[in-house]
Amino acid sequence: MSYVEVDNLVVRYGKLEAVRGISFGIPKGEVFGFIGPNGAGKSSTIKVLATLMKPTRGTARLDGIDIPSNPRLIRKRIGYMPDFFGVYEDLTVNEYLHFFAAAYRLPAGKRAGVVADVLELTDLVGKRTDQVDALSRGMKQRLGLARVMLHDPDLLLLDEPASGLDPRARIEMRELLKELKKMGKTILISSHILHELSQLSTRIGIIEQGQFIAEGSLDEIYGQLNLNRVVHVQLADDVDGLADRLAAVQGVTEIVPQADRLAIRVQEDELPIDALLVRIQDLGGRVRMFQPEAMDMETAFMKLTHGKVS
Amino acid sequence: MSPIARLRQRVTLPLLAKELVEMAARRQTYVMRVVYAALLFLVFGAMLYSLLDRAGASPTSVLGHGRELFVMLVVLQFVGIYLFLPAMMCSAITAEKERDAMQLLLITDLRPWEILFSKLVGRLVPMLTFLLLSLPLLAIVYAFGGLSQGLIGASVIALAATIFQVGAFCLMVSCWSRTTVAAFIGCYIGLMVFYFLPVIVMALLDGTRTIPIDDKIAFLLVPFAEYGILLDTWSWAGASPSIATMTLYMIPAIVSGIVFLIVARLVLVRRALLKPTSFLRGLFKIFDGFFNRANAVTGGVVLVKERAELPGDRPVKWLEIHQRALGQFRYLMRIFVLLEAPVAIFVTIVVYLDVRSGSAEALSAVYFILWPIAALLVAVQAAGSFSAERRRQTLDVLLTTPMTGREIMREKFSALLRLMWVVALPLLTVIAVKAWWEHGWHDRGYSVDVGETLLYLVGSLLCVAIYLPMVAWLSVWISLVVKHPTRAMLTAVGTLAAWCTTPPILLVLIYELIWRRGDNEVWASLCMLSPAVALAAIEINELDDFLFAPWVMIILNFLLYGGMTLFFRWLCLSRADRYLGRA
Repeated sequence: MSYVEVDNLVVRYGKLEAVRGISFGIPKGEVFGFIGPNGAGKSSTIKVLATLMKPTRGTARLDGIDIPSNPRLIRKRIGYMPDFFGVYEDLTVNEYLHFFAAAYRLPAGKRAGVVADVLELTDLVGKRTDQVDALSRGMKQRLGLARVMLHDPDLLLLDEPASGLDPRARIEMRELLKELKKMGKTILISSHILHELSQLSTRIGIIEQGQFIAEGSLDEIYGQLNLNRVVHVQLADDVDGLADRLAAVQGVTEIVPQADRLAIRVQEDELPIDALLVRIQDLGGRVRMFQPEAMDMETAFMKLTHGKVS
Repeated sequence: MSPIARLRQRVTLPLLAKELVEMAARRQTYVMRVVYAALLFLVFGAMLYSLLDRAGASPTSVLGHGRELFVMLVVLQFVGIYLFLPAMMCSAITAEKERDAMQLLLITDLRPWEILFSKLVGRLVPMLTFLLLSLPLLAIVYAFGGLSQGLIGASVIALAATIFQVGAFCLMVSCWSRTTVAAFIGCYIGLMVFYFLPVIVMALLDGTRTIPIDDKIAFLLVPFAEYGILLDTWSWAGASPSIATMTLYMIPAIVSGIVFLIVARLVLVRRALLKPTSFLRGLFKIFDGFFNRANAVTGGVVLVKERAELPGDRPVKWLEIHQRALGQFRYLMRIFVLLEAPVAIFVTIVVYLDVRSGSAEALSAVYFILWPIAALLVAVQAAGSFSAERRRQTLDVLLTTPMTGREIMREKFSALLRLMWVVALPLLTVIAVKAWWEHGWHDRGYSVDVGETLLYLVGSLLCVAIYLPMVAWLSVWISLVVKHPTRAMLTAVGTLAAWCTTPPILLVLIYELIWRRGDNEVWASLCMLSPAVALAAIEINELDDFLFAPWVMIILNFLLYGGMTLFFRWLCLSRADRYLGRA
């Protein structure tokens, strides 16, 4: 059984249906990457899991406990980091963490130790007495992560934690998340930085217009996309009618002549990439360049989504 | 590009177009327009009813009374301008500053004068639409007869000059201010000072017989007063109103408006990039400087040393006390000193000089000045309780902790109690002195009515004990419902002002203009629907004018407002999670 289970979740804001019946599960200790364009329904889903919003329909469970009906119980087991800083800027780092330690009802005697631990984890020990106001964006995000860890939650809900950070801060954040993953935390993370999610996540859900358009492990998603792949082919010389003959080959769905090449779209299950190369050569083509389009997360995202919002 | 094409490009006035579109899309514009129209039509209806009622069986006797109705209508429009226009205009520039858009405007091709013009016209057009609401009423008035074209023209000139002057003044304040709250307060207070300062100065000069006061000169910059004075003059002289004379009289107002615009132009760019800061913090900074200098003189007196303590088991209360300007002890102490010191000095003088005549009125005047200040401070602080969390985007984070909404609310409120004590103490000082002085606990050599003293003491203490928490809970509730911090504060202050003033005004209007029947005491008792009425009646010892015996009225009043306080409290606590946006 998954540690986090979301089944047929629907979230409505008045007439707007932000989430339209998504279902997914996250096994304990795994990192689930939530990808989608702005307004796709990621934050709404996370807010339901964070007990900030009741679903219009469907269920959300954490370790078998229904989230909407047991919010107080759930809040002790989750750590939520919104897509904005959410920090009291007039406090020092130490005061800020002590405030949340008290809000999470940590025993007064234990607070100092816990605060020291999370500062150590997030490498903010040297900033302990600094005003939150004076911290850089990256440090504020790390402080947010330190806050999330205060009560040692099982599930971390991180809504775009790397948004707006510079490359260095992003790398630091990624390393920190890897550390949390090693600690066995279950993490749901949404992001636009797809490359980073692919390095962290064990499973990915791509959401658009409130619905999953792809969900599974990275390989599974790549597999889905590979079914229809573009191969760029440059020929050494013109062969009359080659393009037409290629178009007739089973598995080739489209040929787009470009300035110096042909962009050939193939269905890989019918025509594997290497078989395409053989067929071109069989038809008399002398291949100068043969380049299947790379299938990274960015491409997957761009292929699967159309930038539509709910 | 040819000069004509350049001119055509310039007169497109994109900022004005944006302003008009924005104002038209804002729900607030329609709400204000409906309120304005409702009040205008209601009062006009009452006036008309009164006129027809007076006519009795002879309908023709009302003919020729159009002038009377028309002047009342114009007066209502003046009141509307003074009440509504500052509220509409104050955010013209500060809103841009608050959303960091001012710098973006300044780096465009828009010239400062074009920005000012667009902002001024953009806000005056909706105000003009408010004034146009009276057109159907004018048609009715015209049918009664007695109106001349000169009077209509002169009135239009006076209204136009007022709109321009008030609009320009508020735009200047908006250019100067950092936040909309500061601009809002600045517009109303500044306008009052601008209008009444010359009058007070002239009255003083008149009192010292330096210069005899002349109404026309004292009110030179107040178009509303000039309009009244001129109408009176015409009326006495039997002259017909003249547009030219009215225009002449409005020239000072128009010139002052132009001066305001020039000042606005001078400060627009200079103060465009100032970071919005808390109005109260700015005020405290000034006080801080004063107290620090004073402390140097007194040898550095420190009453309570603030320790850098960490939150205990009530983290939200700690946060409120630690982080908010009106929560910290030293600021509270300074407010207390600022309020209490003048009160203490004043009452000491009254008691020491043993001024028989006017001493009670003087104490009551202090009491009536202290109450709005106390209510304003509590309302502003309470209204910022949750809207400030939203602005800082800390609310969601706080809501995912195991603290219940009720717990968060209670802790927020308990931090407010400190402020309530601070503002209550000067009030209690005045009450105690007045009870001792006016009601005879002090040896006055005449018989003492213990019951009356007790009535005053119980009534006044109940006012403090019930009204302040009521203001606080109401404002906290507004803070929960209205998401934007500035809007929450303005709504809280506006609601209180409306609650205190609307019931008596409406009831008096209905009674005076329409009803004029029934028992006067019933109407007076109905005025208790405004919390200010009971407060004033107890202070000036007028509880005999009501329907029931004074003690019964006190009990009824405090049952009503005690109930209201409990209701607001219940509303906040029982629905805390829902209002806060939790599942």
